[in-house]
Amino acid sequence: MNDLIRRQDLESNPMPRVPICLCLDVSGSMGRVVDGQTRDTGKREFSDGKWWRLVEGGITALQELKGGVNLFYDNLLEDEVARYAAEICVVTFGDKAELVIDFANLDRQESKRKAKIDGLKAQGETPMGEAVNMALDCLEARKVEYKEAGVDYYQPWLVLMTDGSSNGDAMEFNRAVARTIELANQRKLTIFPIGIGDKADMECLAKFSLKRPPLRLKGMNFKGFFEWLSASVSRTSQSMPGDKVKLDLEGIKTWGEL
Amino acid sequence: MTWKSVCCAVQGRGHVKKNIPCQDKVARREENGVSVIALADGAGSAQFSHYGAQVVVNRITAFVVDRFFDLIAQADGRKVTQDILSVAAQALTDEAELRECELKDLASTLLVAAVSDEKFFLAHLGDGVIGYLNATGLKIASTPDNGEFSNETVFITSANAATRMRIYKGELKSISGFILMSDGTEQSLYNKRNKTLAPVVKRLMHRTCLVSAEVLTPQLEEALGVVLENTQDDCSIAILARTSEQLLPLMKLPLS
Repeated sequence: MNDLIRRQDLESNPMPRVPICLCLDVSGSMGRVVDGQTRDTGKREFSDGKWWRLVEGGITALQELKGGVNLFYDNLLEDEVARYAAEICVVTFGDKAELVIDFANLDRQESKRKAKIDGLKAQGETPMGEAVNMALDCLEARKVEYKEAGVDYYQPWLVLMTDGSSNGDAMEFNRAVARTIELANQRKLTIFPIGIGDKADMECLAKFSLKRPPLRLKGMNFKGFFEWLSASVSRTSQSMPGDKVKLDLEGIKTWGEL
Repeated sequence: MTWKSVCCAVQGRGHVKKNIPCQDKVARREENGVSVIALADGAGSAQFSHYGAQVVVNRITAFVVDRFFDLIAQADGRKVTQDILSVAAQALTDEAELRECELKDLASTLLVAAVSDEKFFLAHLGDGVIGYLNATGLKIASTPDNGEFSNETVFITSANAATRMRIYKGELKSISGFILMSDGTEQSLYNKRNKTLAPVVKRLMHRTCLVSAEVLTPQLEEALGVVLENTQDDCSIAILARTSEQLLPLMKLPLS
């Protein structure tokens, strides 16, 4: 290599970011057992609109979800481009809408990420509207920070996952739907509404995405979904002007169904 | 003082991995006392955009050396924009017929810089950067047009190309260098937050004055290897420069 341009001559521009918000249902019903051996304690509890038998052992839907989210992070950290491009925010809805992990570089989130994800508990109702509004607020705030810092970014993503139906404030729900529809119509947001289990209200999810119908997870295949999602993020982070980053439709069939 | 030029384009790592040809194309021309450089970056997923970019830079450089003074004299900027885009569009139409493809398969951006008789003309559509050097240092003439998102820009084939094209003209005065760079090169030689050029650009402009294009072109291609490490994209660059107080001629360089 000649000396015409040396490494120290280069400007240090931050990599363009892919901001992704995971908006996740952690209501009481996500504590239901979906796999493994259980022992009935004989106790009953009313939560998230229904009565539940309390058992010991087994694997819950929430544990499967946590596994998937951690896998998502791990896959992105192993990708040489996505590691520095992807930024993840996690908002949950159960007892209330809560910002669990705010946007930051993946490496900076790493020390507390597992504890925060593993610490999620299944409890409360399903205030979906409140959570989606919070997620949209986080995405907008992050875009402002990017603009102020001169950081380029790709179209943000919102992943909305629920095993039920919204039972939070109706006005908040309607406001969340209106906001996501407008952003999607302006091509300022890509939303992935995903139903978990056969009780997921797909009509409710469909309200958020007029162009692309919501998908239902096949069984509890969170790992399949998050593998697909991390691969999609990786492709987006390497895309260039004029690239049409198409979703891997064949890959969707491995984890989702209409 | 005579203007000298150099230009080159190198394939990005991402394109090598995906087996996509280099979609950045460059051209330079000097005729009738007019010196012009042009750069075009083919749209990522447009199948034949490398062909589109090549025919555009070839046709536009020929057009500008021929019509430079008409372009400068034209008071109506819209007419100038229309003329530039018409020439580019005709180039793509001819190429589309040849390749039996659609116009959108040939989409590219376009950057142009031309000088003659102490006057300059610039045109810019899409991303990439046009910079220049004058008595007070390196400056930006035209910034990238990316829309809101990183992988969006406007191309010659875009419906809104006419409203998004930027054109500039003026007296050279103390200007002694112009540089065109694609977005791949921009990642390394342009500070996006401060909107400034990397100081090394002055060295490249100076070398352009002192060394023939035949000798400098392979050196520049090799040097862009460092820039390639900073991006997955193709990288290209075109420089037009003349000796000045900022870019001293050989006989005035201090002995080391």
